[in-house]
Amino acid sequence: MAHRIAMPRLGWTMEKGRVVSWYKQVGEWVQAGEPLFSVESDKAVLDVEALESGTLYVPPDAPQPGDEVPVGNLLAYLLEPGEEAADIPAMPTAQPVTVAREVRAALPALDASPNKRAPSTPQRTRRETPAISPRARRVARELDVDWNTLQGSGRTGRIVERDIRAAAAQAARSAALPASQTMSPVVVQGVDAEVAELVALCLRLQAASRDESPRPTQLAFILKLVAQTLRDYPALLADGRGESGSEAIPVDITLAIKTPAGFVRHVVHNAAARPSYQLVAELARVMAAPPSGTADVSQSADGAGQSSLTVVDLGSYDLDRLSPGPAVGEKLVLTIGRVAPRLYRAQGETREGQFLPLDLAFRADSVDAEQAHAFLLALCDNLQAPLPLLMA
Amino acid sequence: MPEMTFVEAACEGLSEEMARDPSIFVVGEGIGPRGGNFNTTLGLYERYGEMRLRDMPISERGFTAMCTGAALAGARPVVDFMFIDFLLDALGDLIHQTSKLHWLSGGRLKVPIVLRGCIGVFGAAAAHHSNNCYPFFCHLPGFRVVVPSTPADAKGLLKTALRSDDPVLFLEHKGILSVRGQVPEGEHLVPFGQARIARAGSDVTVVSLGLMLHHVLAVADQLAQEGTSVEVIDPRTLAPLDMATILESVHRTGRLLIVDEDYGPCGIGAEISARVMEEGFDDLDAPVRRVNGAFVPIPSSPALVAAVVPDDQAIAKAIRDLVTE
Repeated sequence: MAHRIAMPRLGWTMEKGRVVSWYKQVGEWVQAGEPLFSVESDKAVLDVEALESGTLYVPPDAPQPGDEVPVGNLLAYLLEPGEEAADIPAMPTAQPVTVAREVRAALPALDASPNKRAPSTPQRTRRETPAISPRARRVARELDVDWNTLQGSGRTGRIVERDIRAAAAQAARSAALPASQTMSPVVVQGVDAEVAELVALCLRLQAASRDESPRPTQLAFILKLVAQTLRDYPALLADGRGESGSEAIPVDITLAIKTPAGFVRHVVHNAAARPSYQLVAELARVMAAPPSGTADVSQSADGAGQSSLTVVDLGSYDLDRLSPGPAVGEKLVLTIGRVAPRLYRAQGETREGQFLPLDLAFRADSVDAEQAHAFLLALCDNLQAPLPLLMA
Repeated sequence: MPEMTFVEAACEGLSEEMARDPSIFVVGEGIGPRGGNFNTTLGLYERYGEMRLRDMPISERGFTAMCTGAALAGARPVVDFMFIDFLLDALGDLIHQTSKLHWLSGGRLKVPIVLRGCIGVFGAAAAHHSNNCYPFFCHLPGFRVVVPSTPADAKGLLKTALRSDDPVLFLEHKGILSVRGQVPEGEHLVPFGQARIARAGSDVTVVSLGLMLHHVLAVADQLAQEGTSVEVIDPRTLAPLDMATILESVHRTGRLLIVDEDYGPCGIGAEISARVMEEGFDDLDAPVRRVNGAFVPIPSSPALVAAVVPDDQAIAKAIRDLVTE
């Protein structure tokens, strides 16, 4: 096989050189170790010896003495005995190569991350169930997710934690949907109650109240009347307990109201049986309470879930009506607006009355609409003629 | 708090302990009047003199064994190897005598010797001066292996090493000797077996040490801008190894990468990976991954060195791949 003679790199920084002269003729035998040619770099002229033995052959298209030749480019061949010039395959000129790139290309067997190498173990049989990471398996147990039907987003198609959490969130959303789809719409029954007597009573009591005791308010009396009326409709009570008219049943009312400190939900316990002045004092405390961290300022944390009805004092927001209907967990919501004077005709006369807007909202499938209607009308009657109940 | 370089901090620690304990002395090549080839004992010869800092001929086996003897006799010698590679000349005696005598004597003998030297790839030091060595010693019972990555830890861990009754390898990466940092004054001791969370994060845990730790922190900052939160743990000591910190982190992130300049096969990444698999299996959302130097002797040519040591791009790619895997 012919030996290739190329422009040598005679110094660290040498990029090109020129052949000055050949010490052997084309066709002449060269012995290894003999000087073969001299090279001029930009620093010096140096003799280059032959490293192998052979017959010198300079191809016709090779660089001539005096030509500037890049280091590594072909200059000549040393042919072995019996070789012909025609036997030499065409060789491309050498290209300068970045050392690091060459090394990296040769390094796949020595790569920086040995664990990336293809496994030498035989092909494993196809998995029956999808692959899943240990963490995902644990989270699936915690969130009660069946992962056998999931698609994994991990590198090998394995199911990973994020897939489990996505599936759990999806399941929660799906679970929430059927309930709202089958939940029946909200029914609102509304009436304006005539409350002139209640207003007059309240004014008299306010005038007569001593300075140190809390001022009586219409709201306190309305709450008491609501509670007392509700007692007559046990089917509407939170757990439907007791018989009609039983005075032993405690009726809890949740009051939702805007106080100077902000929105507050307060449970008034046993509102039907307690005397009015107690309710007055309690409401005064609620209105005077400082702002707390949460909007929920129930007297006792467990009371809120047991109350039968929520009274929303829209008047505290200067409103008369409000939509939407009861939130989850609230069976009955009574909104009360602002007392306002209005003229009306009765028995051939025009009179002025004080009217309080009332709206009773409930879901048709959880509350008996007839009972609700009856309660609302009874409440109107009691608001219109409050004295018997308030004095009881 | 004063700021100083890694090697200055270690020197301060050594000086304080030498003042406190007269049984501490230092041997090595050029550690006397010269103050150490890497300035490891700079200024100490003037302060403590010939009886506390003694230059040695180029005979590591000899002077290391001599110091094992001195330790058995009640001294606390420090053998400063300059390049930890030179310790390998004394390896036979270190394994058979230094590490085992405490057991072979039924606990009656102790060998409180500190073997210190520079490790790692830096400054074209080539194949004979660039070894990391720590996995060998982690594999032998009897040795403590300490690899500080910050100036504060250099001081704190060296002080603890000098008070330890066990043979301690105190390994300092050449590439961080001049890294500056805040170093607490006075009695600052860092216990062995306590890792440090160098950077808190939530998406992936990366354990790294030496010069690589600093590269990992830089990459973590870059990845934070892409929205990946990287937690970086500096183990500080490899024997004993604080697995509790690593496991607690993996419990939160689910993914672990070990970036180590040293070789992959049987390295510390392999050990940590096995331990996490054993003790934190249910916390893993992906396989534990490792980035290591190429499994070749370290070359001399800078271009070749660049090809065999992990660079920031390789580290970033490994983290990104692990987070999405």
